[in-house]
Amino acid sequence: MSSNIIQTGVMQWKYTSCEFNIEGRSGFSTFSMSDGLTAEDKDDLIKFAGGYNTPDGLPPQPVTEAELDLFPIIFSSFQLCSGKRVICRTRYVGKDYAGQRFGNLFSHALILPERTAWNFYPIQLWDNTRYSLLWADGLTEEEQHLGHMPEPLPLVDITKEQLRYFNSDCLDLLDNEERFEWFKSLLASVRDAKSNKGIILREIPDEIAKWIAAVQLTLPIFASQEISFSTYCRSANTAQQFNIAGTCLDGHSFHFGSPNLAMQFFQFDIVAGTVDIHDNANCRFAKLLLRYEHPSEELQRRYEFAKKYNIVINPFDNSLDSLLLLYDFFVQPSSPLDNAEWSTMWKTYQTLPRQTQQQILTDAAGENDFFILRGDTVSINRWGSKPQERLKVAVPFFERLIYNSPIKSAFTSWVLQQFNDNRKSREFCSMFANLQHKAEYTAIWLQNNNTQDKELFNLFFKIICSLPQESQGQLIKIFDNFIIRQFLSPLSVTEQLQKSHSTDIDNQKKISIYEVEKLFCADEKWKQFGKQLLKFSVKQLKPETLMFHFYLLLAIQDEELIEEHFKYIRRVICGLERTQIKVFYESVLPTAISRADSPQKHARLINLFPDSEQQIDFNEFASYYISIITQETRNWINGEDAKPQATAFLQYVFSQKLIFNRWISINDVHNGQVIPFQSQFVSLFWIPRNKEGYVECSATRIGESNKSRQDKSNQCKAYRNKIANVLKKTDANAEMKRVFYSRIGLIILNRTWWKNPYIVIVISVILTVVVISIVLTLVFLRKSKPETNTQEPPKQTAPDSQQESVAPDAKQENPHAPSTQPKPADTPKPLPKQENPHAQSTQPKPADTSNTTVPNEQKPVTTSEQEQPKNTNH
Amino acid sequence: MSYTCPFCFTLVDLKNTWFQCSIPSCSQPDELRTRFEQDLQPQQQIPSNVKIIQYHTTFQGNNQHGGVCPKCHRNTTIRVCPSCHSEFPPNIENLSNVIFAVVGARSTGKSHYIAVLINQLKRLYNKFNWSLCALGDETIDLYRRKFYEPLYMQHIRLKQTQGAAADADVKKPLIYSLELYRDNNTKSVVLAFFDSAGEDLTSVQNISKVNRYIAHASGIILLLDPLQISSIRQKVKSNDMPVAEIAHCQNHIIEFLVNFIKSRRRNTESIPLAITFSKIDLLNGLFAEEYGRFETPVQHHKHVINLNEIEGNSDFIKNWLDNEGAECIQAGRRFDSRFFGVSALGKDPKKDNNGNLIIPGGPQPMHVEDPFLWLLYKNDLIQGK
Repeated sequence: MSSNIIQTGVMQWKYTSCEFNIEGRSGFSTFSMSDGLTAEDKDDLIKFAGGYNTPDGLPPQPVTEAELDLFPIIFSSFQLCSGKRVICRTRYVGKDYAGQRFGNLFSHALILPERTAWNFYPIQLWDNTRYSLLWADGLTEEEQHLGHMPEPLPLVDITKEQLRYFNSDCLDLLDNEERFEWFKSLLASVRDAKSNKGIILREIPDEIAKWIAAVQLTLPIFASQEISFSTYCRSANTAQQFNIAGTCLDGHSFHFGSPNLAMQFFQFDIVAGTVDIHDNANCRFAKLLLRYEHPSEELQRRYEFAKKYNIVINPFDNSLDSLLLLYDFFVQPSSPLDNAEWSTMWKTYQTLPRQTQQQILTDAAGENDFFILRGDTVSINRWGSKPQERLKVAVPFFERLIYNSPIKSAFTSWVLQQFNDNRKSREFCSMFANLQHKAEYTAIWLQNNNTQDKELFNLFFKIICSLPQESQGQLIKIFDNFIIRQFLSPLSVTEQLQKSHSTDIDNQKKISIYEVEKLFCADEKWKQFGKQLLKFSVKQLKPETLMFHFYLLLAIQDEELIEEHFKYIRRVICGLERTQIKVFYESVLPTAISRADSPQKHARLINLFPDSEQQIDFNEFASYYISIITQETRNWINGEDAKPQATAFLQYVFSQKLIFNRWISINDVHNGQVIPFQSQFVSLFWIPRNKEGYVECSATRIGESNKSRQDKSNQCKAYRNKIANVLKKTDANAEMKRVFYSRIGLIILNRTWWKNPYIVIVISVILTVVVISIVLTLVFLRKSKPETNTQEPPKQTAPDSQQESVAPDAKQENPHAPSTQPKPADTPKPLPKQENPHAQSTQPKPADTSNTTVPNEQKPVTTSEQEQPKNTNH
Repeated sequence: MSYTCPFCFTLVDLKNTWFQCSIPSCSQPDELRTRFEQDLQPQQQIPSNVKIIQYHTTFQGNNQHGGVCPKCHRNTTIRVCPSCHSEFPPNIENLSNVIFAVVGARSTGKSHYIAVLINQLKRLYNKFNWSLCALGDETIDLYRRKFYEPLYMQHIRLKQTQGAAADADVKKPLIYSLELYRDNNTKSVVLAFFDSAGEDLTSVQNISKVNRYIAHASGIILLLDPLQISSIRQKVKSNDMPVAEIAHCQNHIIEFLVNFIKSRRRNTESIPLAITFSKIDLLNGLFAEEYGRFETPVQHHKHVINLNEIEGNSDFIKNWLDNEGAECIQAGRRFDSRFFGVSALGKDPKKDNNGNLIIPGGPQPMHVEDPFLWLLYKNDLIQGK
């Protein structure tokens, strides 16, 4: 029995209207309480739990138990000023001790000593039934007729049997999409309710307890006690004392939906289905309830997780949610995160100290875990009869911890082994300390699976060991900086490249061809090792290792290997992802081309350009070749013999029918050092206005020049002279020309002149001037015509004006009249017979507005009819 | 010009007016309001377990008549008390405050008396040419719900009044404006009736915490239950006989009151105290046998109270109590006091089938207005002859 006690030494307090009590006066007062409660505690308890306002509409004078049970019990949890925690049940008991007056209540509170907390959720003591073992329903007969002051109440123990477990209730409650949405809002509001605004819940009394339980179960036990609640309040005055207050269906004084109530409360009128949907409703927090049979224990585990890694959690802000995400991600991978959750988790993870990050990661991967890199994601898999995927994360996450390829793991394991054994550099030890056990595992895994790798690294080991000890450290550093890091975070470098467009790369992180050359060409041993490495890695050639492989290949300069491996490289490029393709063509290949010192090498490299089968839009990467092209072109123009590579290069470029216009616009964006070359290039291809035609033409010329030497040299000479002439001009003020072409030349050539506001304005001004002058001349001409024609219309209008002066609406009609007057002036000759009736008909129209409904066919008839009376008037 | 807040009794200078934003969505955490609702002294810190409530934005206005909310920039004319942020009645410039306190021990009938008195005052509109209007929805709702409906509609007795600490409704006064139409002009006063639980009057500390209004009262109606006087108790039979309280309870309350008022006010002799015996209908039999009085109501003339009859009744009750040996009458000497006998229900409640007490036909009050009229007379609001 004693093992079931969950809380001991709980104090009690009972309050009702009674004759004998510790106050020594009858009426509402504290009947008795346990020793340990102070007078201030007592007053505080009365404030929170000494009142009961009955709902309207219930029997005014309830006597029977059935009648009294209609009155909702008040189950509340709160804290006193002294910090003591209280759980209280208040019941409406109707008559008082004198037996005649109604309005009596009975409150029974359980109070913890200071600085102690409940070992369970306060709502778990909810019990609205009578004759409960824990809660008193009222004073006993004996207590009512004591005849003397009551004794202090004894301390009580709370057993597990007295607790109610709401887990299944909560599941039932929230097993409804709408309700679950409300619940998320409720949870979000609870966090806000810790400030000023409370929450008011209108629901069936028993259901209110379930809602509160659901809220509490999403919090750890200690935090749940920070939320005060009461299951029934009649009015806002009492409800505002609590974070969450319930109210009954009817008979309360809350006007749900009113702005005054909204000022003080988040309203959850569950019965009516009107709920204040919170903007920041959070689901991970709420999902706990639905996912686990014992959510509180799950929550506890998460808190232990936070404690272990010193993660500070405030249960009432987003940090709890972040914790849940972290935990779910690292420890409970069975509950996958969606994208938004992942980014939240990732942000949280980034805010943790570096050591904690590594620790979490190290702990997250178990003894049997291994990593696999696929595309942009790394997955941690668990080794077993059938490997199970446990985590899946984006690459940057595992910056330093990827063991996707045997080379990486072997390098790392070797570095670790060396430095942990010899303790040469403490820095390295600490850096790789966390990697160690996984590295070891990987090494074991390698041993079991791939003997070839083992041989390779034995060789590597021998090379390093043969070097003097001082340079070992140096070498390892190089390895760390340029090889291991490169292997471990290939895509992070990719990202940087994208950002900096190969102009401003952090040399610390980017492996460069120079470094590879320096390392592998330094010694015959290294060269040997490099060859082996190439042979080995070509079979496992992957996008991530492509760059290193490519550089190594160029550095070793073994023709056979290059011939063979370029095939593979080409194939790998086809399978590359977009960003990787970009890096390759934007950075890797241009560098390699610029480093090539023989025509053969150039030609080979140019072979790596994408062909039409590869479905790669080369235009996108074209801008990165401009510098090379122009450099080559300059050499060529400057009078040297045409280099085959340049020819081949240009031939290729032209065969692709690249749109140079686009190149230039790209280069305009990032100016820098490329400009002088670019301007030459621009002049080279842009001076002839039909640019595409010229490019094609020059391409064919060069293409032909390959066929016969004579032709080639002649054409080249001619072409060279042409270019040289141009260059003479352009060299002087290339910049100015560039500006000129881009401002005016391009506008016209691109046929977008109408987009230029200046041109549009100028043209429009000219047009208006022309139009005005035409109009003026016309007017002048008209005036100079004989006056006899113009005298006739006034004769016709004179009687009209007489008519109009009789008509009441005469003034309104006048505006019409002048518009019709010039018409006879325009057509003076065919005056009377056919057209004039129409012209005149517009004048009397307003007077005959009633005739507007007359069909069109009849119009001529009416006008002639109208004319007749006019004529008679004359 | 100043005005006493009927809620927190702060004397407010009307030149220095505070306003409350009329838009409910424009609100802020309000410490002052929290302090007021929690009955905290200005120097007291807000306890950690008390939530600071969200309340309307309040601000000091530029003039007496209106202000622009600094938060939402809307005009408002709602004036509030600067110290408790309670809303003032609209025309406070023309109002004077008269606070009437109804005090008494437990189950002396305070709530019943207030309930019936307010209803009775409305009925007397013609006789005294006045009108009584509730100020604010809260008063209307509170009076209807707690007093009028049970008593006049359901014909049952009122529930026990809970302590002010536990029930926020008890702290709220019933506020009425009484407009007295005179020949030349109209005078308006704000009447604030405070009902209280007998339990709250059991110590000076308690009184000063939740019943501060007593110190600011323009007149006090002290209700005494004659059935608590043992000699009278033995002679009377009632269905609603209260439990014999601990003997000195009623006398103690008077002492607490005296001490409290004396601690707050210098001159207690000027405070009119109506020592009023409730449930006088039960004594009617005794009076009829011995004195034959009290059956007819006091005949007041239009606008004027009949002082002769009031004084006569007062002397009669005082003498009668003297004979009965009631100690409580000695309290009257400290104040400007008269004695009254009233009955709010007018008859003994009857038991229904369930054994519950009911008031068939509703209350038929006796003399309930007399102490109140006398207090009005003492405050120069009506004339006496």
